[in-house]
Amino acid sequence: MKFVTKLFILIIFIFPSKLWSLEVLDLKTKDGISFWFIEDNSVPIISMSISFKGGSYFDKKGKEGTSSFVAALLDEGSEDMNAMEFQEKVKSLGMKLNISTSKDEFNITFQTVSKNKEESFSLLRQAITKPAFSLDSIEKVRNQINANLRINESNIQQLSSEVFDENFYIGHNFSKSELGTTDSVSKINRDDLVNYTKKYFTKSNMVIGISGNIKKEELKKLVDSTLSRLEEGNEKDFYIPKFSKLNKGTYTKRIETPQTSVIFGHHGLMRNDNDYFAIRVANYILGGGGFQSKLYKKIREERGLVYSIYSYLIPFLNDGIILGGFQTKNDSVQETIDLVKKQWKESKYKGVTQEELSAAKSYFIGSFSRNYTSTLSIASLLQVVQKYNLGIDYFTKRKEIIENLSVEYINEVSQNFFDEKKLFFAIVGNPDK
Amino acid sequence: MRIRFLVLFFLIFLQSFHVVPKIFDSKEFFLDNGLRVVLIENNRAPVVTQMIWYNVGSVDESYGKSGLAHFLEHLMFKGTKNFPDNYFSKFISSNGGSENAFTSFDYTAYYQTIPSEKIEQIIELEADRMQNLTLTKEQVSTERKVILEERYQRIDSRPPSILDESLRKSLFPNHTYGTPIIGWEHEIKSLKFDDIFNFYKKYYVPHNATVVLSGAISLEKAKKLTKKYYGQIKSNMKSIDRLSLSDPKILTNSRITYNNPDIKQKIWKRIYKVSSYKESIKEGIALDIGLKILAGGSTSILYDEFVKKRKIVSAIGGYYQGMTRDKGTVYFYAIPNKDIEILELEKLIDEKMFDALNNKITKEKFEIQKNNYEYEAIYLRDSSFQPAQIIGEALTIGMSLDEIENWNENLKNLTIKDVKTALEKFLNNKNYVTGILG
Repeated sequence: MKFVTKLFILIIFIFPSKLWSLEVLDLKTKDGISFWFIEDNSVPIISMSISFKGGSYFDKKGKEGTSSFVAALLDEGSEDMNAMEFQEKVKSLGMKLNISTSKDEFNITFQTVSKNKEESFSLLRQAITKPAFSLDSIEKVRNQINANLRINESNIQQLSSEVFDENFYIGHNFSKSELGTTDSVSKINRDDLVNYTKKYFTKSNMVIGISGNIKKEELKKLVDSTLSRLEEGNEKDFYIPKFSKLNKGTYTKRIETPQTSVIFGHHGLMRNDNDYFAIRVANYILGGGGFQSKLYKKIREERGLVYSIYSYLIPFLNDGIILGGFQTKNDSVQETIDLVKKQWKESKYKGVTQEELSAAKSYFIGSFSRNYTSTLSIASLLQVVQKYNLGIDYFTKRKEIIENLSVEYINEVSQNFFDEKKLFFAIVGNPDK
Repeated sequence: MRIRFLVLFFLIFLQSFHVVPKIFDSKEFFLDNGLRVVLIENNRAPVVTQMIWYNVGSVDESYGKSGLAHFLEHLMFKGTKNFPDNYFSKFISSNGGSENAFTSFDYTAYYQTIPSEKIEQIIELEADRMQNLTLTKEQVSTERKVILEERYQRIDSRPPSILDESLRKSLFPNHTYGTPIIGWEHEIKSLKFDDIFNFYKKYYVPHNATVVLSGAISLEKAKKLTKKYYGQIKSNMKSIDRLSLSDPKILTNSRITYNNPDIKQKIWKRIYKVSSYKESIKEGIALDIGLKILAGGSTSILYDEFVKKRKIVSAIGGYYQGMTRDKGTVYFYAIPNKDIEILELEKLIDEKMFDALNNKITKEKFEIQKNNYEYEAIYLRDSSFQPAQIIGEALTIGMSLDEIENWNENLKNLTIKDVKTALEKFLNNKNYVTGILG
């Protein structure tokens, strides 16, 4: 065993105004855990973002909802403390622990005030490495998930999202509900939960970003004491296949309500695809850019058909999609869908203009510094850039990638990417026939 | 030499008495036209947030004109003579900024976050739209459709919101707090162009507004730029006449039920009318802490009793909203498990609240909540937007900057007895309405 602590690269990236600079450190602990870190002493807080590959994709057949179940139970005590003791301790230390799961990953964000770092990291260790999973807590959470499932049945926004997943991803586990069903949740037992944490909370499967008021040497020790007892794991266990078939057309679920909720989308790109930024910019112009996008202007501002309409790219670890949504009164559903298709077609065939591209470029270049206004958003950014393997030089390269995008290039890749004939619309409400 | 000694002495003196530091270290100044400006300087990133808070909300709408304040908020993005169409929004986004606006009962606010080298332009643009808004009839009629869609999305297609709307109307039978911020559907449909424009002319004036700048900008620059742009706006400085309404005591038992075939989970709710922070900060804090011990999250007394021990609800909670111009509110909710009758549950909750007051408010729980106030003050500073939000809201409903900065001073001599007194008063308060979903 070598006791060498390696300090890899040290990158300084500079904001456009050249007044601010932050150091991103790529660190490795004595026990071999890698993480990225930015020291920031503006407030006495430490923020950490941890991502494990996993998520609902790996929930076993018939036991859908296992990963959500685990997420709800991690702060319910440990082998050393019951749930009440644990949660009171969390509060008395001024610590914040947020645990969530998605289709392809399991996320933990942890924050604490720096004077309580030792004890807080120790609680984090207990939550990740030896959660109690007491039978009482399990039954409590089962009740809560079931209540949520019932509440969702009268929430058209939630329903449209579920209906989309269920019918869009054909023959792929992403079609399964992240929360599970009443039936699947009733079958999940303690062993399933324990096995989940053993299998997915492993070192090789973990990505960490940290920012805040602490020195790197001390932090490395705390990271070791928190996470080094996790097993190494095997990255191959976390393979998720690409989408072999995605649905198109429409699917309608009828429910009595004055307004209909629609979610739509088609195939997308992975984050490390060479064309990712070009399509990201094209989508910003189509449906991503707040009050400036074409969907917003044509459908909300000019016609008053919706309050909100958007589209965005979702890069999963295995593949990607582009997703959009809106709600409109029942008698304007078809009109709005037709307008979405029309804009989609224009993105494909007409593309973007030089003026639109320049505005979009300066948006993406200028918006990056907003990530640096809190330790938590810095930590999350560090985690995300590692997770997608964008490289530590991404922080300096990013501006150049954006500046190099030309109208011709964007319009060429847009022509292959956008396809209104491949869009799938999940419709929940009572639309006029 | 002597002077220096004196100054030093004075500094030590000051420090020893200011054990609790100011939360945001903000600074405040007024322009000649009455506009208040607050600066929260913070140089961690080259970013500035500008918020403008108008002291006007849905409470100021006249009878039959509900939704006016919110309608105007939407129209404020339609452009001015000098900067037509959506020049402002285009400027924000093409510089990587973000923006939005929101309307509440008591206030209407607009904000932008942008790289700090663009601060001058957004101050100019915000000052411009305070005085030069231009509107066409077509813009108003299209935006009316958008607002109706917003109402259907936020309220009419969401059963819990439909219930809340009715609950508030019963809790505030006379005060305009009982009218929904977004407005009643039929009144949104009938608001006139002139109603909106007159509302704008009356309330969007410098002495009825507060500008908060948070982020990488100095006091000197903030003074110079706000004076240059906002300082040009004329103001008669006359106080604005407003409705001053209150409610009769609630003597009846109100229980409101909403059901439809798609509602599969019953929810029990109750809203209380209580004192606001404006009436007494210390009493407000005592009530807030008391409610956190009683019903704030998974370590609370009610959660422990009903979710963990008796297992008759899957969730229960309550919280205080006291940052209001007039009365504050307390919201309570419980999500029953299938095998309990909702009226029986209500009886148990009422009993347990009194039992908790007499037997369960311990010193340990009190200390945890008190410490959390200090911790929250630290977390609040880890952002450029949040401090602007908190200060802007509090000033607009009528608190002073000193009161906000020294908020946690109130904790120093707050006792567990204060908390119990506040809770007791709360529990004996009959000004509430109960709602049942499903």
